[in-house]
Amino acid sequence: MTNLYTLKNVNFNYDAHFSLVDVCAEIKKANITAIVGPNGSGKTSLLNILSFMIHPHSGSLHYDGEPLSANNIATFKRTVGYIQQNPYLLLGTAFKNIELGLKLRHIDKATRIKKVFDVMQLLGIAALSNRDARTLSGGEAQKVAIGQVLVLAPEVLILDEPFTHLDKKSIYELEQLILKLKDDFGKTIVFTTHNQYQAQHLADAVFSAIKGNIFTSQAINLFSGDLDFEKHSFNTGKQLIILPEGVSHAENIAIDSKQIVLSNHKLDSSMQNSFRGKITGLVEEIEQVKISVEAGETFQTIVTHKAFAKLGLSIGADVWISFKSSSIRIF
Amino acid sequence: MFLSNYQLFDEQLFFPETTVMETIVADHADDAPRSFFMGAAISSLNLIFNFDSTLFYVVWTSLYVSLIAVLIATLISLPLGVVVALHDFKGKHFLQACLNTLMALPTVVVGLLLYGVMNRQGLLGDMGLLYTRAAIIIGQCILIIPVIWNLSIAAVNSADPRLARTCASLGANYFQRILIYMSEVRFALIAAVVTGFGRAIGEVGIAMMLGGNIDGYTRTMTTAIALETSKGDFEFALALGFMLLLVAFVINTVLQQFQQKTK
Repeated sequence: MTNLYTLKNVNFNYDAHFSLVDVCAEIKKANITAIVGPNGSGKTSLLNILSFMIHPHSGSLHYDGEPLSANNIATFKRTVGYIQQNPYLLLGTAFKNIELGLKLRHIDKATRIKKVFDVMQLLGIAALSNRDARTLSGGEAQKVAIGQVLVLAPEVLILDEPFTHLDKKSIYELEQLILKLKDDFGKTIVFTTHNQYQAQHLADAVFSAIKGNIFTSQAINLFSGDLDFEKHSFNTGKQLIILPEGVSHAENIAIDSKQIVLSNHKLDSSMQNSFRGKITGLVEEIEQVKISVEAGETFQTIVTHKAFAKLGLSIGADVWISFKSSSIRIF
Repeated sequence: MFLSNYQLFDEQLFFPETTVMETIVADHADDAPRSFFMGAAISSLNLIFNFDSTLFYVVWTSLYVSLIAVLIATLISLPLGVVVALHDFKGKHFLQACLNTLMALPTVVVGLLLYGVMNRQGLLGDMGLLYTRAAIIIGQCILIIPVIWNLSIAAVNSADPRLARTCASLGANYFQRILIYMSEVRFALIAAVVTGFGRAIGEVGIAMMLGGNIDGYTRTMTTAIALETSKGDFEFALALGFMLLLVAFVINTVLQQFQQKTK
């Protein structure tokens, strides 16, 4: 499956405060991507970049194989539909709200009416056509807002926190709608949520956002704690992890699972972090095996099937995990 | 007692044709103020309901002058208000501080300054604007441009902050965005225009100094009230006062209807 978005080392800062740091990510066509993270983690900034509302201050962004440039921003923008959190509907009926985008594009009335009714039919809100937009419930308003952009036939739908302010029934309906738009219409969908579980069961790919860092791998090791100046290390409360020299500030660290080396005995290498632990979980995937190791903290590592067989690993086995201090991301 | 008799004598001396009403006033000196007012009120209503042509011509002059002034001021200041509200630029705060100050601009100051420009020796003296309807229109325009401008900035600022993003995601261009904003805050914009109209039709300084209160030409409701009161024709002045209130009432009722409709 081809990539629709490719981001390489994308940075975006807002008032000298970084809201996105060195983001590397790929978003596939006709996939659902969820971005999970707390408020202020850079989720919305990323959505703004993906909808071409703001532009990276550095790094590269490719969309559908083409690099972003001043010439194609307008064209790119037109293919992306953005639905903001708790969407704002204009004065007037639901129909008028959905029709507006077509009106702004000077589309003739007969075509407008047909397109609006098609979209309302698809969203199951045809009955709301003449209702005053201000009297709609949260779920209904959300659907009208989706209709507002869907009527413009975008390739990508970007939804900022679409599930907040919705009741259970509306959440379920919206989830079904998102799946339908992907499966039946081949739309690429990106949404943000606070709910990790919802992200996992709805999306094809889940990104985690923490303090402007976007982690695209699900099996990421994230720890929070304090910097221990004297020992050049990071104290998670359960484990001391040695950091590169010269670090003056650290609240969170992240270690990519692929950077952690698993072995049966202590390795004689330059890797400064080496811990002994026990395997507590094994998950077999198509190309790799995900292994959870309890070594003070629980670390997630990934090995190939071949390496897994060679090491002869099983639950409860004693192992060593090692990683370079330079592979740690600090933020 | 002596004073009252003297007054009676004095009035009869200078106004020998005493009407029945005035005799009643004189006979009941104690409740004279109320009777005087009630009598005048009844006479003024007579003038209104008999569609007195002099009265209605003055009303028409006022409406004509102020409506044109509001129309011109609106065409200038409404777009300016929307544009200023939608942009951040250097000096925006200073501009708003100036507009706030100008909202309280005394009408006589506008009259005075324009008199300086429009009189025979003034910059625009050759145009012969002074003591014409055009002069009043120009003066009222200057008076209410800051009012409508400032209130329309406030109106657009009152729009929901999410509207900007909605416009952007629907792909609205610059002018479409302005139109969407104007449509969303239309009630507040109309209120701004109505406030401007209220200030124009109720002002007296400009109409008096630049219009000159010429009978049948530049005599407006307010200048006529001022003149007729000092002349002693209280009924006519009161009738105009009622008409002025009526205009305000009609406009506010229409505005209220509109507000309920858009809610």
